[in-house]
Amino acid sequence: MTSDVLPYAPARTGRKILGMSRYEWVQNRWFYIFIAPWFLGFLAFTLFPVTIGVLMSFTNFNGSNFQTYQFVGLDNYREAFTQMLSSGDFWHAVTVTVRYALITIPINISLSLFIAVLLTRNIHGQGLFRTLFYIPSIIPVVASVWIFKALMDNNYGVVNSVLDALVPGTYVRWMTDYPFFVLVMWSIWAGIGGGIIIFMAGINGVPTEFVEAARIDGATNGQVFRLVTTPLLTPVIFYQFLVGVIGALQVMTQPILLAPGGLKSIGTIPPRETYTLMIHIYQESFTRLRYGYGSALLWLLFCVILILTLIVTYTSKYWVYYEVNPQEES
Amino acid sequence: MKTSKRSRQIMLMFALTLLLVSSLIGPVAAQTDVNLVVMVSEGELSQAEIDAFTAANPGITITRIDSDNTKLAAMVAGGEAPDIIRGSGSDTSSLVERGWVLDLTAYFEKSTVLKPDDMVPAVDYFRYKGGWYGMHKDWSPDQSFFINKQAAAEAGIELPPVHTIITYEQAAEWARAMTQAQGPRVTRVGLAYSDYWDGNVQTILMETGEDLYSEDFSSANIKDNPTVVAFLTLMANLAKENATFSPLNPSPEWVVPDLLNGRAASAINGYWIQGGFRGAEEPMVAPEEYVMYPALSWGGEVSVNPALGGAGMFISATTKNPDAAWKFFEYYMGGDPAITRAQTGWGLPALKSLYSQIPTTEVWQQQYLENVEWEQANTIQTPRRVNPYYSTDVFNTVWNANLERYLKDEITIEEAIANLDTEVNEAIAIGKATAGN
Repeated sequence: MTSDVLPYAPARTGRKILGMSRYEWVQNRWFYIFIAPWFLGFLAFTLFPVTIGVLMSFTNFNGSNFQTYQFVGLDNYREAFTQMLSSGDFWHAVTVTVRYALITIPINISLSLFIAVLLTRNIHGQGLFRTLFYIPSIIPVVASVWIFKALMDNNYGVVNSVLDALVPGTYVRWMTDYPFFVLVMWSIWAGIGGGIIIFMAGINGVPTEFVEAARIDGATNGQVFRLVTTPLLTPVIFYQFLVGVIGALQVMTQPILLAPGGLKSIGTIPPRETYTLMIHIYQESFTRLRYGYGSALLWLLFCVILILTLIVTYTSKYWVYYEVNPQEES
Repeated sequence: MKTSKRSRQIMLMFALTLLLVSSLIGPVAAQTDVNLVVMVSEGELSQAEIDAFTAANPGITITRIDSDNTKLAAMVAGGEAPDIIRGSGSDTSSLVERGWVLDLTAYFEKSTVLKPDDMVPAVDYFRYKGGWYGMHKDWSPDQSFFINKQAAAEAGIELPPVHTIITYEQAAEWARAMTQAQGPRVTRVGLAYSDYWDGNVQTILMETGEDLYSEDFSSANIKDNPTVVAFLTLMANLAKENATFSPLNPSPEWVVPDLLNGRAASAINGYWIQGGFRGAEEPMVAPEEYVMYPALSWGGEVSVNPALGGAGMFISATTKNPDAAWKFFEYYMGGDPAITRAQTGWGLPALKSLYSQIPTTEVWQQQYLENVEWEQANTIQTPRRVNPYYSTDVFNTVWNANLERYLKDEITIEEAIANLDTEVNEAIAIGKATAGN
């Protein structure tokens, strides 16, 4: 038997390697060649470091005790639970992070949906407004935080200058007295742009015949939005919510950069109001030189995020409506 | 078509082989030269200096990489530590405990460029457990007291003669008087200082021969030491009165622009800031407005003003070319680069013979240098003891976090100090355990 493609005929039967015969390997060789660079990179730069992180979480590695580090079993994890149950920095960081997530996620989703609805109307300058709302999202995080800091600085910020011009003598210590508010404001300012674009795509993807049918039946604009558009947007809301949860629980860069006085050293910590869980982990790892304990905290955070993701995904069957129900399809 | 596919496969294999061989040729060819990897920032080792060294030392090439502690740890872990490492004198004990740096005692004893009797006492920072591991590229007493003459006059302060040892209490009183505000906005704090809290505490304890740490570094005595408590309380209350920068009223930059832009009327800092003064373009407050005094004293009788660390260099314990590394070390520490550094005024040379290179063209530069020389002869210059079991960043960040809470009236000063004591001692205990001690 000869092949039109190959000068020889690999056997289609015989010993299988990784579930595929030699013939199948040969047939699929270009696929594996093309994904090899990504796969090798994944092994080297993702799987390997992650594995090292897991192993490190069971040691007392401090970043330099290569000869003297010891396996400590579950001590790091036990300490994490003990710290969480006490009223120390760890618990405080958890409460700050949860508070941040509970505030920013609903605001970001609802505000970006609201603005997306406005922008999908046929208005003059739609493209300009869309661009203006989106620009903060494409500015690199560090640059946008510095911009925001320049706006909100206690002594030299633009906001205080404007307030002082309007009401002489006004002086608000935004960065030191209201750091959480500043962080939330930045998150909204920088975060809604992406959500707006995604929601606009979702809104534009609602089949017009559904809307027309609803209008024929006498539905008002509000009813159309509530009973037709929103249910069909639930997959987008689901995605935004999931991404929002994952991002909010890992917030770190922005509070550090917003710390009053700037990033002076590895020991820079933001005000207590914005002392998030990732910052606590960062401090434990790089200031207190407890890489092992820091790894354990990171893996606990990973588990929490994973559990939340699974919960949200599981419950999505009760509130996410797809245009074509995958279960009915099958 | 079969031939075309086959020949493509052969060509691909040939190309890969060529790539592999060419990647090997490079390292093989380079092995005939000694290549030293020097971890130091670009501003501290210029290309011209590198070129001058390589021209004078054929067969030795220099590769400079930026100084970064995380990168250093990774390189050490990978067995590819830089040959020469930039670090502070206060890093010596921890680097030696980790086994990262080479004992250079034998090299120093034989050197005709870096002579032990030509070294300033501050170089003792690089000695640990009988070994000598490096030296400063430049250093400075770090706690001298600078005060704006005009601001003092405006506040009705009559400045004492230079060389007067001023107490912390006196400086605090002056700071309160010189602080300016426009309504709730503080436009000028009376006193600025760097967040080297552990260093500040240690130096005032050294006045009476005390120490922050126990003999074996296994603990720190903070909340039970009246001097430490009184000092931290004084500084915290100054912050509460907005007479100093604080977590609630932070400096937007650092001490040199703060002084030159009139945001601070006095400062505790080192001689080395005069390098920043020299480079200032059109400052709001001219450098000559600042007079330099010896370090503030807690008790009022003696002043302690060693360097808190000082920047310097070590040679890696795993360098494959220790002799070549020493050649570069000698060149950098005693040759033209050292002369150039001394001439910039960003610090004092570690070699007394280079003191003649220190800039003194301006009257204020002369006064600063004269004050330094007076301090070296009349104040305690003994290097402070550095705990090898934890990072002093812990002390500083924990204190700043508790200071913030105190300033917001969330905790009392006693609680803030107690928290500091607890967390510092926890960090030391953990560090000692992980170091295998």
